[in-house]
Amino acid sequence: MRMGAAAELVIDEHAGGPEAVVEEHRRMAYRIAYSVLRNHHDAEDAMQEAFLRIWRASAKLPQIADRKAWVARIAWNVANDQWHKLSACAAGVQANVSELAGAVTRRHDRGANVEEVAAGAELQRLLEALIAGLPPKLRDVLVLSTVEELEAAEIGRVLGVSSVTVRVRLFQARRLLRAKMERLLVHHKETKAPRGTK
Amino acid sequence: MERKTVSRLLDEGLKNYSRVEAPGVAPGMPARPRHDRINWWLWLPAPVAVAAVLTLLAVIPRRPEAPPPVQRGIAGTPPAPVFAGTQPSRPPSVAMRARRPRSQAPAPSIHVLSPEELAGMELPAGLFPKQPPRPLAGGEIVIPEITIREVTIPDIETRNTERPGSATTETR
Repeated sequence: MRMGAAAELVIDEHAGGPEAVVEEHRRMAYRIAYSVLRNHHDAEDAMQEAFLRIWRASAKLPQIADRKAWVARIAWNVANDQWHKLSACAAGVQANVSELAGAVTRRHDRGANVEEVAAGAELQRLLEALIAGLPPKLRDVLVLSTVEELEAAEIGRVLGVSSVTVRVRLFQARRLLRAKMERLLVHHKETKAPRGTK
Repeated sequence: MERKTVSRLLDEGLKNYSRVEAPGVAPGMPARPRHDRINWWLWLPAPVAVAAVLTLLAVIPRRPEAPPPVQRGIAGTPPAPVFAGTQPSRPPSVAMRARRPRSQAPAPSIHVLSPEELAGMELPAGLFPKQPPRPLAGGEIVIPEITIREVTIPDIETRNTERPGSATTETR
């Protein structure tokens, strides 16, 4: 029995090491980085940097209760740091929201259904541009909510707010985003319609 | 576009927002290792270069064999031919090589005469006995193949007593 208990302890210590943490939360970390950076290669770089930080902080690992939220916070911070660097480099490059809205509308008018339009690159770029224009508090909650692995409570632990606050900000963010999209897409449709039809 | 459609577009768009951009890839995971994705074309010239080197090695002719030893004869006369059965001549001595003029053309290489060539040649009588064609029982004439080699003619100052009748025995 004592030998078995010792073996279990060894296994637990090995399973709880940084390798196991990285392996368990790799997917989530990548999605968080991708939700911020919107680029596969940048997200990979951010994920590598996040795991490097996890490796350096492996001595603190036994004291960390919620490792998932801890990894998510590290990935979030790394991705935001990288996003600020990339934004500084790409200053002045702004997506033309009106053109993107026009492309989405044209695709819908050609007969594509909602799923096809939603999977298209035009709508994704339009969403990126609109989300980038949200207030930072609402934007962070909305971006993290798109990561499937994260619940409201975990988003709150990443951002340092309560789960109720997360839900409220998420509701506000979606409402604001919907209003922007309606103004663009519905307005675009109406302006394109002939005068006699009104 | 209707407001209801816009609302559905927003919901569906946010669902896909954190998915990877490459189609057919599991969400959240890269398609292939980065080095495989980016640098694979860098290895394309490697087999081409190897094939080019091998082709060059096959096309370039081999270095010709070393020429036979330098033949010398009497000034103004061509080197005397030597026919089959004779041993290869020794290389010229150091003194002979030292006296050899630099403008002298390289000695001709060994040439094997064909039977037809041999039959039409006029050879010095007595010195190099010409083997007559031997008729066979069936009447067919077989001309033996004779190899003509070149030999080193002794220096003009030395008398060649071993070859009576040779032109090299004359002393200037």
